[in-house]
Amino acid sequence: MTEPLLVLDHVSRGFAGAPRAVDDVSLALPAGATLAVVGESGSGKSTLARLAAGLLRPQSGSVRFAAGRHRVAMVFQDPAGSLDPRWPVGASIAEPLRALGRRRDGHAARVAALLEQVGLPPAVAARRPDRFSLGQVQRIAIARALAGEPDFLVCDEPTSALDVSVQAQVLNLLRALQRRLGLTMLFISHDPGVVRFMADTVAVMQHGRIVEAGAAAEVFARPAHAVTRRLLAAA
Amino acid sequence: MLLSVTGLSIAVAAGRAVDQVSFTLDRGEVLALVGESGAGKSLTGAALIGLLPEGARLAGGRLEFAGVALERLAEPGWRRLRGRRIGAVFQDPLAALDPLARIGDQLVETLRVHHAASRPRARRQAAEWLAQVGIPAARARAWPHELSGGMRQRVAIALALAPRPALLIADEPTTALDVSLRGQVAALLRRLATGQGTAVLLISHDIASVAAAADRVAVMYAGRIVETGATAALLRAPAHPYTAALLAARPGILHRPDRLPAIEGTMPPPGATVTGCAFAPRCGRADARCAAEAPDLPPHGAACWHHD
Repeated sequence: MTEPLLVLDHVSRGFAGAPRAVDDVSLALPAGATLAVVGESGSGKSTLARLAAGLLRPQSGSVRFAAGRHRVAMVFQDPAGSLDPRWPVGASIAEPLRALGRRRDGHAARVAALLEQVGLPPAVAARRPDRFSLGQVQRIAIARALAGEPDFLVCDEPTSALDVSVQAQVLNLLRALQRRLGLTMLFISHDPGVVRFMADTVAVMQHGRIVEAGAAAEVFARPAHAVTRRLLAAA
Repeated sequence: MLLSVTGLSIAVAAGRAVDQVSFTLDRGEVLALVGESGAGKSLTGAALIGLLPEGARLAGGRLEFAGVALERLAEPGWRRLRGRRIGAVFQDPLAALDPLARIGDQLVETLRVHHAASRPRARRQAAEWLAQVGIPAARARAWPHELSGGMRQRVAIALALAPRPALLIADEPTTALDVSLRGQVAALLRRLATGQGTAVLLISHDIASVAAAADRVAVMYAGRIVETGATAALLRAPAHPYTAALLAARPGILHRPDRLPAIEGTMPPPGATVTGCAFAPRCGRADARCAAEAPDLPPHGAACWHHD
């Protein structure tokens, strides 16, 4: 097992409607690999994603990087949410470049390179989001996430709104990027097939808790918990 | 034959979105209509319930439903059929549910309106419907927002089936649900519909989650049906390369390949100039003939030159 990049230690977080959305979760994310969290709607996996990405603070417990400084980016189910509908997509992709302090005269070339990395031609940069299909918008949102040069990428149901054939394209892209860039990835999905394809290690959630975790090949071959067996039976 | 669709074409601003679609449905039969977003399957369903969206219009074809020519029906005629003889279930169950009424009361109202049932009788039937869709009697007093997505969709199914329609158009009824619930809800829909003789057009972009609930499957691509067949045979040996590609693209749980067999490229949008087979540019088996001539769909099988 590689060194962990991020460690969640006895993390709990609730909301008015769900007092224990995440309930005493401890998890170590192996650096340079993909940990996938699978569970049904309401199991707490999206809250866990936002805690890991630093978008939410835990009410108890801690979320910390094992060592050094790291950059986090997130990809969501609804890609349109991360792009400004009034801007050409190139401007949305370039936004994290400003935050990084990159020179303005290099932005266009960098945006073109990022688009190429997600399989889109550079001319795409000049158009607004409503000119693209859902699958293309998700590629653009991924390009934007990569613009911030993250080493930790959190993906929350990134292909759940896509057609099966487009889902396959986007999953292939995410898997290739993870390997090529050596990203540490936290991948959230309710779909066991999607998790099987993406995950090196897997954690199964129910009612805010992790009920089973381990190497993906092992968990899928010999599911130990009833929740895992039920998820796999329906897949 | 309950429903006979012949040469249905639907035009949108950009051009033909549904092109010469034909199929039939018998009483109590379930036909799955599958394909990617933009293939024309939802427009086909909308035409059968008289709810084509703004900007779309019938451009040809005959829609014969129990002796009624649906293509000639005006809105007053549709109002007599819709909900009563032809029901609908959509992806978002909240569209079918009144947020300000308890779910039991909504069922009672539906039964009273469509069956002219007395209040005590409608109450009894409403309780039976809730039990049928697996909702405990105590939840009859729940508001729609108090239910989970799966429960809401089961209530929407009960509401659509309670008037005993001859035909149900179910457009992506399981898409908003977790994968683990999709099969169950599709199976429930099938059991309740066929049990009372209601025929179902089950529309979905996900062939895997609806196939088990369907007697037959029709696969749409770029406005046309490219393959039809009995469910088991079509899943075992898909005849059209597009059907085969759709089935292969879904990741399974048994193995972890390095890459998924994605279908590269995109489907031509409505109005695009297509010569030959519309799938040819994305098809591994395409040759000169595929690019030049569009194959017809035989009564059973695939619209593909490479299929005999």
